[in-house]
Amino acid sequence: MPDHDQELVDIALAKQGDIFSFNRLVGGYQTRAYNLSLRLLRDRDEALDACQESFLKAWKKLKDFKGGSFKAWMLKIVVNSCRDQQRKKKPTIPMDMDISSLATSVEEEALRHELEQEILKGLSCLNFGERSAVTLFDMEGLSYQEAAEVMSCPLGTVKSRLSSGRRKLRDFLLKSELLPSQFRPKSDVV
Amino acid sequence: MERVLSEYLNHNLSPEDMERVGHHLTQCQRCREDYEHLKLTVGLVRSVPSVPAPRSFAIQPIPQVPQAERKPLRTLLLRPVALSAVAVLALSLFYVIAENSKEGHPTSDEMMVVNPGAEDMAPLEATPLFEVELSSSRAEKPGTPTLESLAVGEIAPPHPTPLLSEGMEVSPPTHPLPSRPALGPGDKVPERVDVCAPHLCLPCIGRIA
Repeated sequence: MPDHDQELVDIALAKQGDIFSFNRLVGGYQTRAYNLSLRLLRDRDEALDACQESFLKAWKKLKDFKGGSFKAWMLKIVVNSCRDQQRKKKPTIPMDMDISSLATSVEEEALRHELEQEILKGLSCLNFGERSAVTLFDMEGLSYQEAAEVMSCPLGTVKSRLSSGRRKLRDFLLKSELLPSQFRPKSDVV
Repeated sequence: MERVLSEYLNHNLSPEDMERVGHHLTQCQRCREDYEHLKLTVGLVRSVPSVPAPRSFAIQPIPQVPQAERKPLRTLLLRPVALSAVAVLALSLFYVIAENSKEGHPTSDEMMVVNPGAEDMAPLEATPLFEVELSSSRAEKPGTPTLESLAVGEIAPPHPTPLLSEGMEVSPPTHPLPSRPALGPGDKVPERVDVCAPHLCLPCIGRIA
């Protein structure tokens, strides 16, 4: 049975109270939800809390799901949980992300690791809307329509947030001294 | 122009606009560099790998409580009522005791010590519950049959005689007994003895003897 059909079956069964079917859905979305939470909140523990809260909310509100993209519906809950989580905590100066929690292995290529650090640092310089747009569109691969649904905003707002987010991120990376020469524009390379 | 370049990068413009922007990029050095920077940034962002979730977020099913361990709803509803009733009773008792002590009412001990009518009352006499008199000496009334004088072997009592004990005196019967001829010196003892009732009273037992 294709994944999409299996997902529809699991959704239908979970709506009837089958928690095992719902947990199959959780297994399919938890990595995506965790990465989204981590990039939006920039804190591992807060991302874990937001993720768990999101899946609990999804379980409770599953009967309200009227169809359409389950991925967008699920990620919308995640984004809302992250937004609530961020409102609770006091505003702080953007800190470096705990890259050790992001690294898949210690033997990862040093250059790639360094770049990831810079990119994630740059993401933390964006506001929540811009960060959501860049993360959902560029990292999670959502369409404009899905991103608009997840962010609960018009399509034009998504486009403008994505554009400004990309521009800020580009400026941050260009200022970074750690950006390797092969990734710099030809005009900057001495 | 920034937004247009972002949309051009996403191929989200109409074909005419895509062609127009593409043509402009070939003519404008600054816009071309901006576009290259933007393309590089997006490429880097998309290259960041996702990390596995450190733990599962599966929802744990709530264990079903066995029926025997469940407390009935009635008990749960009545518990506060019972507690309230006990509290009201305790408060009422405390209030009564406090009011009595304020008004100078004697306590139960005082009532036992100070009883105004106690001196005028005559002492109670003990009344016997049974008419059977107990005597420790059988010589006081020589003609009275005692337990030892009863002929146990002649007739078995219909029931044990717990009412009789050594030294008891038996009063004469209060009901008429059936007549029987008096036995002479040579007469045989009749096999059957007339008694008052199936259950012998104490005078009848003496009479049998």
